[in-house]
Amino acid sequence: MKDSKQWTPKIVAFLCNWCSYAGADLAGSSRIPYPPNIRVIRVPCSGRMNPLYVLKSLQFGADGVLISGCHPGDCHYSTGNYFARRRFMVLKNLLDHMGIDPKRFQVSWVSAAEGAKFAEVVKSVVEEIEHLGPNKGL
Amino acid sequence: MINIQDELRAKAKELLKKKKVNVLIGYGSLNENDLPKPIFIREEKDVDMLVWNPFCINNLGKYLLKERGKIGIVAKGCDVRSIIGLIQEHKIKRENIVILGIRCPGIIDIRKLPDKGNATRLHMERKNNVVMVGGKKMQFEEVCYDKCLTCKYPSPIEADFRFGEEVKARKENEGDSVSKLESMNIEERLKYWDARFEKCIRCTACREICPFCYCERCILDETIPAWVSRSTDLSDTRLFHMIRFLHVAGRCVDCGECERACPMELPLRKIVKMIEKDIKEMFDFEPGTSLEDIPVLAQYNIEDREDFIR
Repeated sequence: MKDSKQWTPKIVAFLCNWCSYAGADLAGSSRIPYPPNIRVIRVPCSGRMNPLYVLKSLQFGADGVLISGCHPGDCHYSTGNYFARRRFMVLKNLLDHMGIDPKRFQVSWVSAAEGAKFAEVVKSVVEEIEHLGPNKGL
Repeated sequence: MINIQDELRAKAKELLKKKKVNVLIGYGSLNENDLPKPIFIREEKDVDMLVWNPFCINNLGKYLLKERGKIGIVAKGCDVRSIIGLIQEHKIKRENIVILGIRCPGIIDIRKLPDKGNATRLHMERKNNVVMVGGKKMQFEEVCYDKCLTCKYPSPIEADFRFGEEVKARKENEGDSVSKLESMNIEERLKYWDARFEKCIRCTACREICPFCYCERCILDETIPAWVSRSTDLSDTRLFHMIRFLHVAGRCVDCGECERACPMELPLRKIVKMIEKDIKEMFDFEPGTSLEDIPVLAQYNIEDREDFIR
């Protein structure tokens, strides 16, 4: 009981180097507050995201995973996020089929200029995962 | 049925004689009591071992990757789809293979026969949809493989030679099992799979037999880092299967070999079917149906759905 009272979600955030990571940086340097529940990992591109990283994070006890990349059309490598988008669609469905709440896996597009949006995204993701409770599956 | 076998042998003989192929991959048995097994025929004199009967279930597509030069292959409608998939992925060249395509009326699952097929299968007769087994009349649907019940492509899409009579495609019927799973809520589904995956002994037979699991170094075997441990821990087993499903998503043609090879009889095809359905809905794509296609996850469409993205 004591634990569940103190529980706050741990969310692993994979941010793309060119947009979302800079966006998170901007949120910081603009002093926009957002919940401290995310642990940021910088990746070269959202297209670099192997769906296995998401599963492995969930297995190692993350309550949620957030992937954030450049808006479609803005990818530093032109098309990385388009390919990633398809993989994420399949992964989201697979989680659902296997009985793991697909809401634990979140995707967003945040550009380098959208510090405020980044804070907003983190806030809503944390709220949603708080609502789901601790991750038991996987 | 005997007809097809004779035609097959004649064609095989001709191909080997004219040196059109170095090796012919087909189904063979040493005597009539034998269940057909994959055989590799390199010489004309061995052609008589080639058989075709309602028990030729193996998908021989995988063996194409292990042979060199010109290869002849006996393939049913479903197997041809996996061969097309391998061509799409540039693992084999179309000009290097000769496909002996069989219009397949369905394959019988010996596990469904009265005595697991030990004796009854030798005295089996089939007339259209009725099968006489050991003096008992049975509907073909009762004894055939599950995948044959929903077979959309019984006739080879791509082949150099075709054998057998035209077979009507069965109506696409996703099967009640899948819709039952879909109607469960998320916790029930987790429980359902937990009960199944608990049995998994991680023999990796599903991977070994899959025509699309051809990587020489598999991430499931890696030890540094060990993405998936070797233990049969439930969590790792779940991860193991999810990785496999993700790797074959959009490529899997539902040949059903993983489920057939599984010694613990896990219902692996259910997930496969659901992913296949998703892919069809999301991308309007069916794997292994056209030589010109690019695998669905190796292409993109700017208009792809975005409703799940913040």
